[in-house]
Amino acid sequence: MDQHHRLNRPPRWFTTAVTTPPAAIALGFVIVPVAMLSAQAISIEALSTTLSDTRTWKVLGFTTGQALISTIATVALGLAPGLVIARSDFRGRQLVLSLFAAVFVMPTVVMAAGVRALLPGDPTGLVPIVVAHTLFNLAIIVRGIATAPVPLDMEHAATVLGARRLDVARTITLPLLRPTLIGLSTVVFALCFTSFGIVRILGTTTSTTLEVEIWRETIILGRIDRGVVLAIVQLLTLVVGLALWLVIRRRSMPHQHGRRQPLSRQGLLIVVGSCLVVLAPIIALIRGSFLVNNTLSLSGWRNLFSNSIRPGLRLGFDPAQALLTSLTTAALATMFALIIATLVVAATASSPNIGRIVDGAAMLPLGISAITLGLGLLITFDVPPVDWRASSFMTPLGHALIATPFVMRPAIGALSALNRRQVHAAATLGAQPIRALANTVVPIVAIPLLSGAGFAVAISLGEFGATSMLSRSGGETLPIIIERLLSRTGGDFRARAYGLSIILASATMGMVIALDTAASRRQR
Amino acid sequence: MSSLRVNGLQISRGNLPVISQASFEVAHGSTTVIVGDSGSGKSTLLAAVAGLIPIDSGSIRLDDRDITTTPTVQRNIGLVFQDNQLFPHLNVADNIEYGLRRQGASRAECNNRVNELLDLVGLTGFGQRNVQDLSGGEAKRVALARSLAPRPEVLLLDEPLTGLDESLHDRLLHDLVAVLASSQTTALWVTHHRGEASLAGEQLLTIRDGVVSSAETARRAWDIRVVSPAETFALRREVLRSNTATTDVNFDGDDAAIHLVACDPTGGNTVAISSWFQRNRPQQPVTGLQLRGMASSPEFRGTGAAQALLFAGIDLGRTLHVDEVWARARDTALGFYLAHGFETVGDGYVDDHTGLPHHDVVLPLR
Amino acid sequence: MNTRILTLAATALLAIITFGCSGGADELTLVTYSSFPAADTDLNDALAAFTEETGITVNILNAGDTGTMVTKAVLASGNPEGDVMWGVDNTLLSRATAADVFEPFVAEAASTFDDQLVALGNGIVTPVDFGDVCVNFDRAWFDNSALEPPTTLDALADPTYASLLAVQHPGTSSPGLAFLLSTIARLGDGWTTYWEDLVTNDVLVTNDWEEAYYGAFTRAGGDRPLVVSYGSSPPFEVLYGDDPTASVAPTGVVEDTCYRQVEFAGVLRGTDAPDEARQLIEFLVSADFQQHIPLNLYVFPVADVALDQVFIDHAVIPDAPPALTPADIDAARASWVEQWISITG
Repeated sequence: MDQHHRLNRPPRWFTTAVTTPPAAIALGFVIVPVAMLSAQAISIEALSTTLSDTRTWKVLGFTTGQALISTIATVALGLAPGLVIARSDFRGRQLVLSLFAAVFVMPTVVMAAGVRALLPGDPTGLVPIVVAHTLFNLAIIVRGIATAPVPLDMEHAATVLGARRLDVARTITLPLLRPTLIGLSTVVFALCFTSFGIVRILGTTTSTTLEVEIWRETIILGRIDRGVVLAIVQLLTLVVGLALWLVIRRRSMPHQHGRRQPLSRQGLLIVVGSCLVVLAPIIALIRGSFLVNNTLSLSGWRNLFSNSIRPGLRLGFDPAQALLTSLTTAALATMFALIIATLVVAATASSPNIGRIVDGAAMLPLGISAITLGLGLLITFDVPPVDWRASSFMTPLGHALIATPFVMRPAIGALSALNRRQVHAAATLGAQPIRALANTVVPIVAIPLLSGAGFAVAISLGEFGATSMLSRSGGETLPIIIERLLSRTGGDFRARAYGLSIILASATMGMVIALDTAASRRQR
Repeated sequence: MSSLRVNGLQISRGNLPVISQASFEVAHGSTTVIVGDSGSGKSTLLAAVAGLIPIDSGSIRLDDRDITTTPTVQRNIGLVFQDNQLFPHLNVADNIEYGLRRQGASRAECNNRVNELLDLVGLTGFGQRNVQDLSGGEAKRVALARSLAPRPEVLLLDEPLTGLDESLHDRLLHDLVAVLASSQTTALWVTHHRGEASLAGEQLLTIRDGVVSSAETARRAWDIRVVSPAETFALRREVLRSNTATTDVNFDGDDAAIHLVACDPTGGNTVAISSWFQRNRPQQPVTGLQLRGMASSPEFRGTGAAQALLFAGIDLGRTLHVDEVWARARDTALGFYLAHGFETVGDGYVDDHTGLPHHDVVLPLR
Repeated sequence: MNTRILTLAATALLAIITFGCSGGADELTLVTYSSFPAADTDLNDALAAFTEETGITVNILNAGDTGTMVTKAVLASGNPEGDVMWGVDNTLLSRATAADVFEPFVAEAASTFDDQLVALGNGIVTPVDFGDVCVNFDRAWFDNSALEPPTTLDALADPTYASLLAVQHPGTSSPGLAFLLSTIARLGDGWTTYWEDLVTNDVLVTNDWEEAYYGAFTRAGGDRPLVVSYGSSPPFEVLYGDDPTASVAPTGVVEDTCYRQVEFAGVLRGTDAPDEARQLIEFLVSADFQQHIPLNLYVFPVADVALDQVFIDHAVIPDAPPALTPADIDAARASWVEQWISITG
């Protein structure tokens, strides 16, 4: 984004006011905990052993490789559906978009089981990992592209000049989409890089990522020092990648949002095809919810929200309560994430350079191991008046930290397409710099923020890794309950777990549709 | 270049009818301007001719080729968008050659054509420029060049001069008309600006409530009368005073001139005047009829009154058996003359009276 | 008269100071693993009874799985998240004691418990329950085949039982580790050869318990009738099955493969309510609490309490399965796992 003329920039206090909270949060809840954990746990011996072990670098290599391949696969698979949905109007459009979001919340255990069932030979290693990652993250690419502005008029201009449909896509649509696409890919890459659940289940000793190794070293083997060294290697790698991207990223070209057109036959095939791909794990879920000890049964559904095993024997947790907790946590987390995202957007709008730094700071949680973060928070906030170790707002806050990058990415992308002249126009009409900024920025970012909020909901509802690291007194979220049910012997617990996963997915779809509808209403 | 024939076009968007009746022809190599207010359906009409939106009924032909059901890519029609729609990720040269590249032209062919067009639109050397750094007028010219590069059979222009500031507007109007004329483009131009319309096209159509009415009706609607000098002065005073430094509305030889006026047949009031002198062009052996001045009432500009007077004057010239009709044209009015077959002769000069640049224009009658 | 009033006042003041200042005097936090129920079960009712009796409220703090819980305690040593920890087991105990996580305390009632179990606690913590990790077999599958269920550890390496066993990765799974330790405890240095034989016998290695028990096990539709699981799995299969009064459990246990995991409770160093913490631990090993353990925690009590009929009928609880000391485990665990990885490839 171009710099404002010095005289017309928003006052310094404004920039400071919007920059401080996200920076403080990044500092206090991400950087400081990791630093404190490092300070407490690292030893020179651990540093030298871990860094000189070739296995460390092999694991880094595999981690980066699988993340790259997964990202490429996700983009390749999600590009066509995203483009079609972006420019087509059809009944069920919202439903399709929310379907992708629903897959995002599937418990990793279930997704892993689904992928293994799908692939012949029940393999482990790179292929099932990439498949699982792709299925999970398709939502990010498809939704991201589907909600980005469509340069319809420019495409028409190209058509009139004699370009066939594929040519238009290749020479006009994709080049204009590139900044958005790169932003989305970065997010997918970070997610795949730090992926835990999938790799733990579908990986092998040689096909493993840093995140799993951190877990093994820290929790299983008790070598916290080595675990922290690996966490730092992971963080540094991502920070370098992030810095590179922040520096080279190009601003989006300004263009208008065109009017959507009816679905073509080709488009229909693409949309239906991608829906089937994404439905495969959900179908596995549905099937599993009707199986008890490998026979068809409804008892899983009948006992879905029951907290008892049989009369007199209780589970010790309440699935219905957990669902409620998940929903309220998601609402809180989304609210926090929206606030932080809005502040980052405001910071970027008022001062692009500072904005980049705050942007990077807000992206940090994506690159930090949930384990490292959880343990870091434990030893940072452990003395009054900040003894927040077991307090109930840590979970939604943790979710918010993880979700903010998703909420703000589309909005910042839209922001970089801001027409400088509009701001100038507002200024010449007598608007103070802050108001000029607000009047021109808010309409552009309101919709991306709202649809980004849908993502925050999905992330919070399905979050397991970081949540399980935080201590709590009661107040379990639904994914935790599902995991507990899956680790019980006997009965219809597995079916119940799958059934609850479907409930979780449905809740996600419902909330996402509501948010998307609100966003599209604003658009009109 | 082909002629464009539109017959019985009906277009609706959603369930609302936008165009209920459009039948007209744009002759090969000529420009037709369609004037209408915003919301009258002008842009929809163009989009339909370009094939970007479906039509309910009717036909569109290029010469004898029926293109009603042909997809846009194959119609070979050019379209200059109101907001240009230049591709921001390509530079000027790449934008211009876009259509050619789609046709499979070689690098060399593209380069040549790009340079040719840059010269044509007066932007020589702009090839490497960034599209986003162009001014309004420059962007418009690039858009025009881009549309002309693949040699379309017909060029559509959607409000090409709307939104430009006044001096740019006049200058660009002249240039656009010149480019269209020299490239002998068949052009269909839509605008809401009546003044621009009358100067830009040979044929003027109006569109209102989804109906396109033909120019002939508009033109034939004017009563042409001969009037006395005194009546002339009044109108001249009203119109000319506002544009020039002088208050003198008396031209030499007004007594000997023939003054023609165009009257609104419904109200009877005079809307435009012209003065014709039987005078040869200096140092020319041929006989000539000079148009010494034409002015129309502002609210009737673009309604065909000026054209009507010009044709009447040309008819007068034929009646008087002169060899040519000529005028000393203000540069801003050149487009009007050129569009009606006049040609400029000699270099331009500055008129002492008014201080404005002029060129001599001539229409040979034999 | 004056002295009396003064004494009364002083006592009152002292009482206020004592009860006012000791912030945790009537409230304790019990740090435990995620499968410990937070509310609703008989265990929680028992704790409520404890509160009734002593006036001490017990908050249950779920700190993740056992490994996570211990890691957190190690990091927070001296400034603990709670007052008492329940659930550190013998594979992790050494780690915790090396970091000085506990204030040494052994409940009085421990004198009535099995010596071996108490000795494992080293005078720092009190044993509270134990569970065995054993190879389970699918009775129905074996009934339908020509084979008899294996009875020894060695039998599993016999070609007769090829391609029938599913185990978990000891590097990522707790029962997986337990089974590996079982082979090391029983076979000593010969354990490596044993595993080589198992590999030749086409042993299936899964990443965690769910994959094995709910995936590979023939009861769940898989193709392995032998799977590493818990000694308490068979009685629970009966209890949660269609017929809770069945005379024969659908699964059985190969006693010779069992490895005992013991869980302990201890006072966390740095607690501001050490006396109350000790009181709680005494309660946790009392019959009132211990009797509810099997049905709610899937492990067996250390106290001498009567077991439910279903356990009496279907549980196999070996007397003294071979074990390794926590110190040994802590020292060699990593290298054992690495060796295992290189054997199983």
